[in-house]
Amino acid sequence: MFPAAFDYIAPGALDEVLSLLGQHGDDAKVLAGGQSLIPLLKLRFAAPVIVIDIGRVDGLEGIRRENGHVRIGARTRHRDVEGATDLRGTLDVLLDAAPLISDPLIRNMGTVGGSICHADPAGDWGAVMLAVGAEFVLKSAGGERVLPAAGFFQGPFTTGLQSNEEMTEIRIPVGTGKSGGTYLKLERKVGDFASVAAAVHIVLGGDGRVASAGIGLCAVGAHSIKATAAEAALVGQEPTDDVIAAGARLAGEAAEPKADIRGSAEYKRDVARVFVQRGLHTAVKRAQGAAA
Amino acid sequence: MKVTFEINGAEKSVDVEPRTLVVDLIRTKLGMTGTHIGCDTSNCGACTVLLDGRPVKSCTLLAPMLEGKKVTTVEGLAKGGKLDSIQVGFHEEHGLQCGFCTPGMMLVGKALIEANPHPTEDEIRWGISGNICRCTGYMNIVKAIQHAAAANATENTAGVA
Amino acid sequence: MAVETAEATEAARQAMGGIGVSLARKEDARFIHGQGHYVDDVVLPGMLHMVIVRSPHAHARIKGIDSSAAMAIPGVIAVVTGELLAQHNLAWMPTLSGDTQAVLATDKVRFQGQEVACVIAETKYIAEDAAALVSVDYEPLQAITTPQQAIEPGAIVIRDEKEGQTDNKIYHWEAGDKDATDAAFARAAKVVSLETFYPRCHPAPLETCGCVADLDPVTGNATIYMTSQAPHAHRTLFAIVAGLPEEKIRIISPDLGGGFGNKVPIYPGYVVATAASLLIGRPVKWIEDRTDNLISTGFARDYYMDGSVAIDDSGKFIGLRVNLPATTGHSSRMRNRASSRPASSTS
Repeated sequence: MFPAAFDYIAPGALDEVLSLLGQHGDDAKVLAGGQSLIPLLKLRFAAPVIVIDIGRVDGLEGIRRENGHVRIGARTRHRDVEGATDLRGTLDVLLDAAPLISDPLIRNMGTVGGSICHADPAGDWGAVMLAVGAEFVLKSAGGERVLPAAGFFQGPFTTGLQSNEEMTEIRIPVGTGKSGGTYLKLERKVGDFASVAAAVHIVLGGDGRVASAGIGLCAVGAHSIKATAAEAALVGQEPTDDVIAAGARLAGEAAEPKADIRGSAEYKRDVARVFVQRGLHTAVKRAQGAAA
Repeated sequence: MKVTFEINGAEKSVDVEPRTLVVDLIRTKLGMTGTHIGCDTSNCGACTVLLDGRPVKSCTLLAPMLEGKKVTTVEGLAKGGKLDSIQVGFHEEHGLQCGFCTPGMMLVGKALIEANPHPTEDEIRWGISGNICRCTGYMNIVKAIQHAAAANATENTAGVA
Repeated sequence: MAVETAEATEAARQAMGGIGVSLARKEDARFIHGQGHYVDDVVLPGMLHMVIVRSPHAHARIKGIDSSAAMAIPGVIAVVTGELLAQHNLAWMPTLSGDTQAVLATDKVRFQGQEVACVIAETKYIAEDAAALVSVDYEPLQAITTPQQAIEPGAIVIRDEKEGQTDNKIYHWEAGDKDATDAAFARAAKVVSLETFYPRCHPAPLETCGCVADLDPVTGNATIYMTSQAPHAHRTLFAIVAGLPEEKIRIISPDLGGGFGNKVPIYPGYVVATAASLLIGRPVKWIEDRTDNLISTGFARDYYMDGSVAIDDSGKFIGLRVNLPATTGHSSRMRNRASSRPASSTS
């Protein structure tokens, strides 16, 4: 199992990457950690003319806080998110999701931006980014645009990213309210894709009511799903058991699972509901315990 | 294209097709056959090597990605005729049967106890979760890594004293 | 003094080794140094690499194979097809259980993943590139995927190349004492029955199957490094297929990266690599990738079991009947017809 032949280039500067992308468009594939791209190349599901390795471009890795955002360089490895323990209390859902991505060896190579752009419907970061209301910084030779995670995932392996664009950063707004979140994932074995997973992130206002709620669902549709009706039903409410159960029911209804070897559609939809319910309880508890 | 990197302490410069997988580079071009090909799809970890000290799956790396990096394979574990503590652990605790997963398991174990010198059993199981042993010797693999961690601790204490 | 005696006995036992004493493995040294010697580690001078083109259809007629695009790739030495093997009388071979199987399909393919052609090239990368360019013209036929479909009256016959074969039953085996069992059921106080499905299980050793075949064009000796759990049986089979005396054939089974039974059957890849080495005059290596292995290697189980137990007044089991329609795949590759093992322990 080997990739078909391709040209390879590893530019040292982002400008060069953007210029190459402008030139080659759909014939090019960007290589970051390679943990999704290389299997596709080996199975010959992807056969780009040119592979542009961004591994030598400076400034694409790292997690920092700036202007009310947590900013994650697109080439930041999963393991670096796993180790960013100072995110606890602010973005619990990221810390809970990172160690559940594939296995430790893959997390040593795989990148957050790569995974988001690959947009596997069963990829973990998509659901997480929808839950936290992330924005993606996309650069091209012509300039920069910022797309919200909501609407970015359009179908299996299909996103709003244009062929001449490179994702450089993920920006996650972090307010001053008390927040909490978590990620729940059902997988048959370590390293398998999710049968179902759910990302939950909430912010509580000073009155103890839900100021904002984010719910992302993984592996229950053609792309990562934002459970908007469930989110809306939670906002402004006191997070009682009934409110949470009602929100979880709406989240389950937002799921569009297909039956496969991992389970029936009915089963997966109910797992989504249960995960969101459990996730909301954990998120609320964490937010209530958090310092504003 | 030319790729220059360090493997087991020796600098190598090789001419390869960009699509060459690191596992093939190591096995075929460098003739070091201790790194194995199991699943081809980054599931099994038989191809594990350390890249700048961290375990990765070499069947899912392209050769040019090694440029300027340091690679350690199973052949680089023993130094000057002396076995690494992880190798001793695998022998003493019967941590292998057919030996196919063993290089990967040992490298993962070594990286694990270097980052976390006193891992719990749970942490070890978590650490080896990307590597498959089809002879199902996980119990003894866990013991082998514990054996190595204990040996390292004793050696470090002895060094201090 | 008794304690001392016990200690002395234990010391003697440890010194002597054997049962109850932990023994250091002799094989470990090479494995922990990364110096194990598996088939894929074998490199011979002038060695070529082989990749198999497999059928995407479970049942289809082969109308033609065009290998010109594959042959045009620099580094490709040969594309072997069933037609070529048939010219050397090598297109079919016996299995270890007295059946026959195609080495490379000639008339039609009989299972998904069946070997249709083999590309031999200077490197395995080139061989795989070329394999993707071998164009096979298939006429898909009705497929059979369950034993129930297979035994329906009028079901299409998969093994129509077998003389006298008019249905899809490929193997029949009975064991036990029918009269005694009938009598036990006749006098049973209670009979309990169960129908159940025992799903297919794949051995999936970490090391896939493969070989390095080296035919010496001068002496005619065949040396084949093979992932084999049964090198002696394989030598006999090679002798039959190639028409060579056994002493001309040496099967070397070096370290095996797990087998779990699937390295007992003989696979077409071994035979084609050997034939190619003979025809080309250079050693040929064939190593399955994981897709090859999962799609074509021998599996176990896949039984629809229908069992009844006869029980007497006191609750004692007095009789057992089991009927077991099993999917064997396209041929019976492994089971020994002379086996005397009871049905309950077959695999």
